[in-house]
Amino acid sequence: MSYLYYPGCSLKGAAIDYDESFRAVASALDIGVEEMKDWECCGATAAKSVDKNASVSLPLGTLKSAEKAGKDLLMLCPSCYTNLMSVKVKAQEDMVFKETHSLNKVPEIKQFLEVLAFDIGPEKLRERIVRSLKGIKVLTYYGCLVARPFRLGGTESHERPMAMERLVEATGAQTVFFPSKVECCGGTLLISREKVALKLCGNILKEAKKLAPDCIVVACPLCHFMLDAKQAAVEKEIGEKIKIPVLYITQLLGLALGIDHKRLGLQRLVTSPKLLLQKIK
Amino acid sequence: MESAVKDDIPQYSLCVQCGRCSSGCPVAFESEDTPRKIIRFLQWGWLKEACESPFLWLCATCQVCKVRCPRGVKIPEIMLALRRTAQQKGWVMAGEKLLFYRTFMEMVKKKGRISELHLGLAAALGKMPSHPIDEALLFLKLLKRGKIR
Repeated sequence: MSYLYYPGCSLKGAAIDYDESFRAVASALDIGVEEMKDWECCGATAAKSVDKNASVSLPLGTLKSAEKAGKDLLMLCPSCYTNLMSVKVKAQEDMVFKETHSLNKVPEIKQFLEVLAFDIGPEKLRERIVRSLKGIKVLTYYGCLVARPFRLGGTESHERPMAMERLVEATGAQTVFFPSKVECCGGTLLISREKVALKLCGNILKEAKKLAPDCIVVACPLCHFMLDAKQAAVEKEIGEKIKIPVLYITQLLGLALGIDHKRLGLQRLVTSPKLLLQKIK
Repeated sequence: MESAVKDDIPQYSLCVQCGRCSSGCPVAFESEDTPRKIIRFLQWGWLKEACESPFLWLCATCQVCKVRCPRGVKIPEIMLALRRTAQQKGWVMAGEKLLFYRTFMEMVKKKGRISELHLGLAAALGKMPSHPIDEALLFLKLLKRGKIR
């Protein structure tokens, strides 16, 4: 298994710990990863809002590079994933579009979560676990774009995806049904409508606290920023202490695979995971 | 409605006004308008009213409406198309987010990528942060953790 890895802007910035833990987990599971050189931003929501041409040409450039390299694309940021998938679907459905942009073989695009949950699968993952997470209670949070509008693995439900639960349970940890798992974290509104963003994030964290988990796991850089880095701001906004560590799914799996804390970027979390880590030892 | 504009806004005529989009919308509580209402404006040919609605810029493009719509209307795409139309026609009511997006795209055009640090600073300078001390503290924490570089 070998992929062309498209990082995107977040994975080189605030989500550097997602990048680190992903690499460590991929290497532990023998997934070949080659980072794309000279990649460009996917356009995020900005291009779609102000510049229609750029919203197509930016993802298209990435698709063409992958086509040239003859490899399938691997991404971690669901926002990048959605933008690339949208253009890919357009190329598949619209022959004129495909021909004008001379795309021949459109590469496969996968989120790393899909590779873990569907290509490797919980059974194979279980064989590699060296440190059981038994006794740890985990809430899985998907947010918006991980599970919609494109189905995870092409099959998962939009409303009740289970991919992360299956992976987490393979480590021996316990998962609890989290009713808010596909609600919006408000991240995209953080700059323009901070109050609304914090309120949406507050709803999720309040629900989470009721279930008293040891940690929440996520698969999106923006969700992670809201739930982890903005947790203190949310606490202030809702007038309630939360104090739940938020890990990337790759960080939690990495712990169970026996990977060193530093290689998983755990020291970079803003909300301290100290209690969780003590429990795992 | 002119055909160029109409072509850019996907299939709003399919909508049967059931309101499922609005009932699942996470930001509808903040707005007088809802996705259903915006689409109704379009069906009536009220393009200006649709473009001027602050709801367009509140939409988080979370895709809930899209996956729940029983008629397959691409509601987030409609909101995005209306954002663009509003700019072309000079009908933009809420400018803050637009400014952010333009800064974002300028950065992408110049460097191919964005720097979260520069983008964050540009946004912070554009308005007074609501909790400047807390935000400065978070900034330092992120810096110390290598999340801002």
